[in-house]
Amino acid sequence: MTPLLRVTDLTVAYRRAPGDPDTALDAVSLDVPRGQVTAVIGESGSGKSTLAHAVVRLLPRTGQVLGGRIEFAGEDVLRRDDRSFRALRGRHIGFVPQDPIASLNPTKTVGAQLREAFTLARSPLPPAEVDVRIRQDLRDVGFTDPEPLLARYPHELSGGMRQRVLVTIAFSQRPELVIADEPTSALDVLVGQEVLAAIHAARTRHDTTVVLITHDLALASRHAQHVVVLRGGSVLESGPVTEVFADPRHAGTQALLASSARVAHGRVRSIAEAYRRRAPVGPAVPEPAEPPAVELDAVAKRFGTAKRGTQAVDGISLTVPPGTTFALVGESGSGKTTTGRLILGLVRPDRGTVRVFGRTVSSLGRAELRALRRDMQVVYQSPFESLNPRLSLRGIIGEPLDAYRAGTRAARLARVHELLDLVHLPRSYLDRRPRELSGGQRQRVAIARALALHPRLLVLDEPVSALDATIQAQILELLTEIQQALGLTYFLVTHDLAVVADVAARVAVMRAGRIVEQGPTAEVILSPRDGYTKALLAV
Amino acid sequence: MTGVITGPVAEPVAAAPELPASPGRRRRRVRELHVHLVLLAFLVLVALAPDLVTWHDPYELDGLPFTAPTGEFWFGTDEIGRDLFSRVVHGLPISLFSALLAVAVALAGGAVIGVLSGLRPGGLVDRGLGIITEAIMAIPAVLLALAVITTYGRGAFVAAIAIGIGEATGFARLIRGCVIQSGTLTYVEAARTCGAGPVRVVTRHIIPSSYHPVLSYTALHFGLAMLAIGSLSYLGFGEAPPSAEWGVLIAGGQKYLAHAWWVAIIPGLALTAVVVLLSRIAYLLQEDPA
Amino acid sequence: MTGGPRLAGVVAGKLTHAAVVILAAYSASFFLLFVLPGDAVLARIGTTDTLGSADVSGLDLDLLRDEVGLSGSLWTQYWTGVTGLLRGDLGHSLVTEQPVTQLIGEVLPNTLILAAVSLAVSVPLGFLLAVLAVAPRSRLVRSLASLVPSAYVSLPVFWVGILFVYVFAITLGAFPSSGSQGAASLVLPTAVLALLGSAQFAQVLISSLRVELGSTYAAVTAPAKGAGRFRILFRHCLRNASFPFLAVFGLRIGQLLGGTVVVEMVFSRVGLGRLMVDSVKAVDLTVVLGLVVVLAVAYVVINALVDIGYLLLDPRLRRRSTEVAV
Repeated sequence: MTPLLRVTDLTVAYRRAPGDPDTALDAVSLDVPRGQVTAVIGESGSGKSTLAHAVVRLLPRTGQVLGGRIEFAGEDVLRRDDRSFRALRGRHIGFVPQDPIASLNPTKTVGAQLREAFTLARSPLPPAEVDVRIRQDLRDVGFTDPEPLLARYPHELSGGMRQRVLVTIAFSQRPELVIADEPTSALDVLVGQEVLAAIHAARTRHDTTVVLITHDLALASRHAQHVVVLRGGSVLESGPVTEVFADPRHAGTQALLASSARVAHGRVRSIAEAYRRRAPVGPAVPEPAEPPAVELDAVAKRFGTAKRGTQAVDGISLTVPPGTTFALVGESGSGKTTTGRLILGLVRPDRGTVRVFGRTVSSLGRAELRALRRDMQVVYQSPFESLNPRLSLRGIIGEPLDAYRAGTRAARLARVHELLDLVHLPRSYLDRRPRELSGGQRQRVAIARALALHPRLLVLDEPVSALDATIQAQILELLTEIQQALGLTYFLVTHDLAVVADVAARVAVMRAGRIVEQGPTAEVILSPRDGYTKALLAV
Repeated sequence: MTGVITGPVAEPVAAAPELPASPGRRRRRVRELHVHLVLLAFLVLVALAPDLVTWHDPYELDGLPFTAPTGEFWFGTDEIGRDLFSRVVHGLPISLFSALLAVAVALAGGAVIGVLSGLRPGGLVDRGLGIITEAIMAIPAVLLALAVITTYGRGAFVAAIAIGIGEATGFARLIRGCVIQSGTLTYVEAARTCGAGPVRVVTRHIIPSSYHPVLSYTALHFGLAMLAIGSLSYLGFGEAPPSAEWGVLIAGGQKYLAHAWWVAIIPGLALTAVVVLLSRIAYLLQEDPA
Repeated sequence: MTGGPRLAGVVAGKLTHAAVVILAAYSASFFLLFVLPGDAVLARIGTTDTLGSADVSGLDLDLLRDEVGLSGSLWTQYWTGVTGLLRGDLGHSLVTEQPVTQLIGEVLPNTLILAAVSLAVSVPLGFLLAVLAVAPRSRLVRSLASLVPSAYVSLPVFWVGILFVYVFAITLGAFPSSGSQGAASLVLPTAVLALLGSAQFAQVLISSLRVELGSTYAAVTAPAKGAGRFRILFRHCLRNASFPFLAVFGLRIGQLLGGTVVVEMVFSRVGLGRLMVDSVKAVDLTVVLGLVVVLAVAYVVINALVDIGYLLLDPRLRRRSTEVAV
């Protein structure tokens, strides 16, 4: 059987400056077999989104197809002009965009946006039947009561709900092919699961061919039959998932797979399985005789007023032994970031006490808090936002030294050099600015800055979630190395239990401001008691 | 209603560029900006020493009245035979420096109000200053300027201060927004957790991150202030004849439009050219090079 | 949705705020005019040009004060003014002794007509320019349509007026160059104001249209459904791009009421602006204060209408509840 979609030698470039085209796809060829799910995997910059957009001809104005063929159902669609190509969209090719927040028109109701898909596809269905079908389709993707939904505006829905509406739109005209561009990357893990379930349900019901663009190997291996691995605009290899994952032939694919300890022998292991197979990396839990580094006792924090507000943290208690990594796991809105900020003294608790190295943070004055800050530092989630773009690395890493006037100018410079060595950045980078660095390098800079004053505690707020998988592994390795060399305590805030399994000695799982489960990592991962923890582990 | 005299509003300056900035595009913009800044520097030089580029006295009757533009009188002569080119060149410093004074007043006033209210948004200071700002905005800028001029006397510099007061409200709003926004930036918080004190945070992080939009807004309002000062002179509240201020020149030439168009039209073209230059600089400054 | 009591609270809050702003504007102008110069009487004398402002020592100031209606202490005058304000009484002109409300009422229709006609022209023209700046395939047309508005707002209004007089009245003889009688006299001043207005509108619309056209729903979702460029522009983006326009629209009405001075002078028209200039020149302080009050009221009313407009048009502001059945 001929493939539904066949791409041959597709080359796409972005026009950056005259005479300086930036090639995003370089002679990419792939086949998408009919009736199956083909995953296109790759890290950022691999060209996977460009590929998705090129197929539906939705490249930004600067993007240009320089050569190649895109055959859809046997026809070279690149020969079509824009007008006749438009007839394919919606009716024959559906598209699920990446960012559910911006992908729906904010001033039109969900119902109007669903109906528009039928109008634009010149659906032969009479309006009454369109309404019936919209309701049925919404039920199929998991909305038990679609009726009130139709009159809602997008801002009234959660991200997951919006994404399911977008899935409904993509499948509404029963297209032969649906392309989903990172449909879950902007969502929480469990919500992403619902969206994938919705895609799966719609796909099986209507026998649709799906192209799933993703950076998540676990997701690809679980949901796809075929896989295409992209890197730097070229196809590394492609084939059935079981074959490619079990026996990667290309070194690039092997590196990609190695970055995820969970994929081996052609299938994804559960987090627990992956954990069991490795010797625990984190240092053993020390004797309880030592005073704890961090202690939270019945801490609560509410934002907003009593009526309209959120209880971000709702009476949590935890103890972090010194010299170890304590992981706080939860989805967005669980209160985990607020907990980190409570420890840092950036937010004051309404109730309860926060003690760091025996000192009660909430009772400290400004000067005392400033003194304590020498002992605790923070690494933020996004290395793109946490570094001032106007300063050089010398200014950024040296900021704490300058702020505390630590030593002479020469001594500070020497310390900055030392820190660059510590995070494995060349000393020649001293005068570079953040925009000249990659994401991983920026995060190294943020770590170096945090270490400048020889702190004893680092609060790591999602330190790797903005990074590609291979880079994640490198940064986690660096953090472990530094911890062992300097004997630091880490308070790790994350949504990813896989990361936790790699580095933490103790884990607490947080949901809606409360801790639902905590204990040594082995215990929580291997024998979870709480249903929510089990759900997170099952991903 | 800050720009009431001249009309243009500031909001559109926050225009989104048609394409995302690429390295090549950024380089081209920076080059264009430099060309414009050199032009502006040239104008300032001319304004400082107008006699270097003119060969007639702006106040002497050197030619026949209403001589059309020639090689000797580039812009022609006015109703009593003064060289219009020389008058336009000598009018430049009045327009340029009084507009500079106006934006300086507006920027200083706006910065004080904006920073004070932006540090604690929603606080008592913020709300009080908000009412004052809004009250000033509710009075049309012309009326405000006219009132100040009547009480303090005529002249381009009084007019400039009057305009500056009206414009300060716009600056205050912008700077307040910048201060509030930069307070939420992650790297500002990161600096705080690094132990940087308030002074250090403001000077090293908040001011550098706010200064681009403010600079761009200042350049734009520099031009608008020139228009406003011209308007006031035209209305008879700024400079008075025989001053060579451009509004005065235009007002004086209006009577002779029918047979000597250049007397009113050429000074207007000069004013437009300078304002276009400034608003182009404002546009080019919008994109943060960092 | 919020209930009645909360809505009433919001309205009451807005009204109080509006009253405070008007009062503050009045007070600021009052003290600016009456206190800062030291003595308004001197200012009056100084600008009437009959006496040198330096030599006033020999004059009987109290007598003069009585003459120009500025007797009594400052606070008494202020209090009289404020209480008069509450009764809708703006006092009498110091020069002609006519009621201020009557003076303003006489010239207001002229200004209103000018403002209304120029708005009626500039809104469609502004939208047209904005669409031309983003829609056509031709890059040249797009750049031209986006350059013209930003160049036009750099022109001095009074000079454009003069230019129009030169071209259309003097050279072509098509329209009268001055006066406030008849429809023909309205053409040139309207054209000057309408072009400026449409240039301002176009500037805002262009930038917000570009933002909207670049956002995912317009750049990806809608075309993926099969929507063409014009449908995306007209059915999706234009409305969403109009919200920033609304604010500028309100601002523009205020400008037209208070800022037509220059145009009225160029074309020798009667109107609020001219009254403003004349009364300031004559130090007719009650008229000036009356104008401040009228224009400040216009300002707050327009702002309130713009706020209501936002509430009606933007569903993001209308409903805030996020609870929905899954």
